[in-house]
Amino acid sequence: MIQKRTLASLAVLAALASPAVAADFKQAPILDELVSKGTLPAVADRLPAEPLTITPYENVGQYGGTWRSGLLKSGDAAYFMRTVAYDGLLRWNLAWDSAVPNVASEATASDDGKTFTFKLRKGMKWSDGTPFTAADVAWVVNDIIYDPGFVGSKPDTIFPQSNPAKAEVIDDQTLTIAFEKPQGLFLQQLAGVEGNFLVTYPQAYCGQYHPAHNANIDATLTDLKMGSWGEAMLSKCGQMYGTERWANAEKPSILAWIFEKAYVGGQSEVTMIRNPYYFKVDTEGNQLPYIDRLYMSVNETPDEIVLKAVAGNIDLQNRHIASLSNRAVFAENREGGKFELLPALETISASTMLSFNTTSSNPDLQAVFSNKSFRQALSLGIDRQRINDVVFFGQAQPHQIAPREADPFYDEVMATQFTDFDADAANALLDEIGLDKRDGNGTRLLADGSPLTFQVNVVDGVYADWLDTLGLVIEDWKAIGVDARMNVIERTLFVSRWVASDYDAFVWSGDGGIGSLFRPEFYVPVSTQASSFGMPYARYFADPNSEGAIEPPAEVKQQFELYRELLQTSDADRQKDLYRQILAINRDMFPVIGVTTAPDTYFVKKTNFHNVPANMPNAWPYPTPGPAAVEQFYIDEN
Amino acid sequence: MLRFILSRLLGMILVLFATSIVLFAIIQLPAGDYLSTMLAENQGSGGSAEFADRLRELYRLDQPFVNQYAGWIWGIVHGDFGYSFELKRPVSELIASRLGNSLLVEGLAVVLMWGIAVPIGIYSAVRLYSVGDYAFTILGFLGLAIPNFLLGLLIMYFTFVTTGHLLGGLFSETYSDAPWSLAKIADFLSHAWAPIFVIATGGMAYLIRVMRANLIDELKKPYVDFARLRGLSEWRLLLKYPVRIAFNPLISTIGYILPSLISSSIIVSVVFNLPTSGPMLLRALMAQDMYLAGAFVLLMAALTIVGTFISDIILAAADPRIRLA
Repeated sequence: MIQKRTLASLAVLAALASPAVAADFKQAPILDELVSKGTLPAVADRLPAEPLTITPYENVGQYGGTWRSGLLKSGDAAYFMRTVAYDGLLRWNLAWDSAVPNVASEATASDDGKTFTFKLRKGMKWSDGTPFTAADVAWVVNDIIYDPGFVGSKPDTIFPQSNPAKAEVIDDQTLTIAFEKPQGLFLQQLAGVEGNFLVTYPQAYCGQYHPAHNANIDATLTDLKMGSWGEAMLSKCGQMYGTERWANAEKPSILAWIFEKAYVGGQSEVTMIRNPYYFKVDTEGNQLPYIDRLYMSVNETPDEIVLKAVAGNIDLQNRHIASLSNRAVFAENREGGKFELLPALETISASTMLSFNTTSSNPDLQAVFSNKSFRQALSLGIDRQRINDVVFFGQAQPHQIAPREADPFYDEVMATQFTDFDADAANALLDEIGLDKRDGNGTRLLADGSPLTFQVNVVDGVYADWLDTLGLVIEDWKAIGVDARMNVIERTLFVSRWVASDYDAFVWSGDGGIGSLFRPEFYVPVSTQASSFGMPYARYFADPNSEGAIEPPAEVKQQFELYRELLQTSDADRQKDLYRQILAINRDMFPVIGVTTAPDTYFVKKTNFHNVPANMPNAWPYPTPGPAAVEQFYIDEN
Repeated sequence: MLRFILSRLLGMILVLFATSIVLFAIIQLPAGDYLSTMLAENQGSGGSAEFADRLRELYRLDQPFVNQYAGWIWGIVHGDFGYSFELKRPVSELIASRLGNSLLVEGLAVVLMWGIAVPIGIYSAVRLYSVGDYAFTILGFLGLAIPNFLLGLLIMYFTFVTTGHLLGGLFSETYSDAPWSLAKIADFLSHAWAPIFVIATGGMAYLIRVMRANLIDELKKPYVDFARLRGLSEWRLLLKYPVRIAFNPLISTIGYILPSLISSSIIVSVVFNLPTSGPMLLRALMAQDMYLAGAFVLLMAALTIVGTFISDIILAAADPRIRLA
C-alpha cells in the first residue's frame, strides 16, 4: 500500500538538460535594472553554455516574493544543508532511486569502481562572476580533505580516511577523482547531503588561506590573528558540519541564493538574496530561482516557529515544527494563517527503538541482553496496540527495526516478527532461559540472585512520543517480571554514554526505514557515532586494535565482511544482493526491538506557495526538501 | 573619604579575582565540554571524534585547569574575552551586540517599575488600609505571584487572538537593521511593551511593600508631627523628609539592579524571543560554551560589585547618618 502511494505521488521531477536557445533566456525583474545600468552582464552571459533545465513540479512559476522560515538557535547548520545548499555535483531524483546530474553534467565510474570522471558545465560562474572550473573542485579533494593541516570536519562518508582519493584536473571542464580502493557507493553518496562540500571552496577566494595557493600566507595569518592556515580556512570558508560555512557573506557561492545577512552567531535573523549567476533555468528559459529573497528568523525555541506558522508568517517549513503534537494546533489555524499541511513520508522504521547493551560490563546483564530469546520475549511482551491507541491515536502500526514497505529491501518477516502481543509466550521464553525465579515483587532474578533491573536511557525533546511509549513499554515489561527504569538524561550525556557503551539500554529512533541502503549503521554496526547496537563492534570494524574495540560475534563479523565487499563494488545489483544478506543476518540475530512506525509527517505550506511535491520522503540522507529543487518553488503574489 | 574609596576599590579587584577563579571552575564542573555538545548535536548528521580531538587541541581544552584559566584571565586583562565555540565569534563582540538591547528593555522596565511602585507605596502608606491601599497591594502581589513566563504567554495569546499581531522579538523585519527613527521607535514599542510590562510587574510588589512599610514607620515619628505643627503643607512635608528616608533601603538595592539588567529577565526574553543577553547567557551555560558563559557571569559579578559600591556612595550622600557612621 505505502509503496504504491509513494511511487504514484512521487512523479519524477528532474528531467535532464535539453539546452534552451540562448536568446530565449529570461531573468527576474529585479535584475533588469542592474543589467541595463551595466553593473551586471546580460543573462545569457551569466548562465553557463549549457544551463541545467529544471522541469517545474506543477507549472512554470513567477518571479518575486520572500520565503520566510525559522532557524533554531545558532547551530542550525543542517537547515541550510537540507534546503538552499543541496546543490552538489549530483543530486537525487525526486523518487530517490538514482543520482542525476547537477553541477556536473556527466559522471561516469570506471569498471573497477576506483576512478570517477566528471564533466562540468562550460561557462559556469561563482556568484561574483568568476569562472567555476574543475580546479575549484579538485583542490578541495587534494588540499583540504586530505590535508592534515585542515582542522575542520570533512565529508567522511564520501571520502573515508581509510580509502584516500586524489583528484586530477584534465581540462577546465573535466576532472577525475581516483580512490586507492573501490568506493562502491561514491556517486550515490555525492548526491547526499555531504555532496555540496566539493563545490563550496572557490579557489580564487579560499586559496588565499592555503599555503599552496598563497605565497604570503604568513602575512595573511598575522592580519587575521590566527595561528594556522587550517584555522583560517575553517573560519573563512567553513567545514563540512558546523555553522562556519554559512557565516561568511563575502565568500562566493554557486547556490540559488547568496547571503545578504549571513548566519553569524547571536543575531536574530538571516537573509539571502538571489544569485544572479545561478546555473539553472526552467523549461521556458527563465533563470532560476523564482523567489527573490529568503528570510529566516533565529528562534530560541521551536514554539516560536510554531507561533509564527500559526500566525501565517512561515511560508514553507517542516524542520523543528512538524511533530504529531503540533499537528492539531496547525490544523485548527489553517484558515486564519492561510496555510495548509502538506503530507511527507516518514522514513524511520520505528519511532521507538529499544537497544540493549550486549557488551555491558555487568556480566549477568551482558549474558541476558546477548540472548536472542530474551529480546524476543521482551518484544512479545509489549502491547503495541495499546501504545498505538494511546500515543499515536491509532495512526501507527507495529514495526521492528527493519526496512519499511516503501523501501526496496522490505522483508515482511523482519519487519513484523515478534510484534504480536503474547505475554504467556514471553513468560515461557524467559523461564526457559533460566530467569524462572522471582522475588517478592514478582521481578525475575538473575543468575547471582539479584533482581533483573536495568536502566533505559532516553532523551526528552527529540521525538515527543519517546517518553510516552517507553512508559507504556516499562509497564508491559513489569507484567512479565522485568524491572526496567526510565532514565531521562540530557542529550549530550546520552550520546557520550552511547558512544562510550556505558549504558544498560537506551531509546532512539530507527533510522533507515526507507532509504535503508544509505543508513546501514542501524542494521550493521559500522558507525562509531551512531550504530543501533554494539558500538565497540563498530570500533572493531574501524580498527580491531583501536581503544574500546570488542571482537563481535561471528554473525556480526560476517556482516562486516559483506559490507566491506559492498563498498568495494560499483555493480548496483551486486550491492543490493550483498545488502540483502546483511539485513538477513540482522533479521535472524534480532539485536534491537522496534515498537511502532511513526505516523507520516508534514510540511506547513502557505496556500500561495507552489511547486512543492507532496509525500516527499523525510530523511537525512535524502535531505528533505532539497531534492524537490527549492529553486523552482514560487510564490503566487496575486 | 578618599582612603575609604581606594580601599574599597582594591577590595573590589580582589573579590573579582576570587570570583573569576570560582566561576571558571564551576563552568567546567559538568562532565564534557562544548565540543561534546557539538558532537552530540551533529550526531544525527555525521561529525567525527577525531575532529573533536583536533579542536580540543586548538582551543586548549585538553590542557589542565590552571593553564586554561591562566590563558583566559591573561586574555581578559588584555581586553580579549575569548572565543565563543558555539556562536563562532569573539565573546566581546557578542556581548556588545546584545548589551544595548538588554539595557534598553530592562532599563525601561526598571523605570516603569519604580515609576509605578514608588507612588503606589507612598499612596498606600498615607492612605493606610483604604480601598486604594488594598487594591494596589493586591495588584502588586498578583504581579509577583503570576510567573513571568505565564503572564508573558497569556499576553502573547490574547494579543494574537484579539488583534492577530504576533508579539515576539524587538523589531519587525523591516526595522531590525534600520537606523533609529520615529517609525522604528514606534515599532520597537509595539513589540517591547509586553516584555517591559511583564518584567516590571514581577518586581513591583517588593518595591511597594518596602516603600509602604518604611514610610509608615517614618510617618509615626515625632518629627513628622512636629513639622505638621509648624504648619508645613502635607505634600511638602511628606516628600521632604519621610519619603527621603524611606527610600534608603531601596537605594541600597541599586547594587542589584546593575547585574539584573543582564540576567533578570532570561525567561521573559526566551518567551518573547528577545535578542537580549539573557537567552545568550542561558544558551551559553547549557551548551558549556565556557568563554561566553564565563564572560557573562564575570560581567555580572563585576556589575554587582560596582553597583554595591555605587549604592554605598549614594547612600552616604543621601543620608548624613550613614556618612558619619
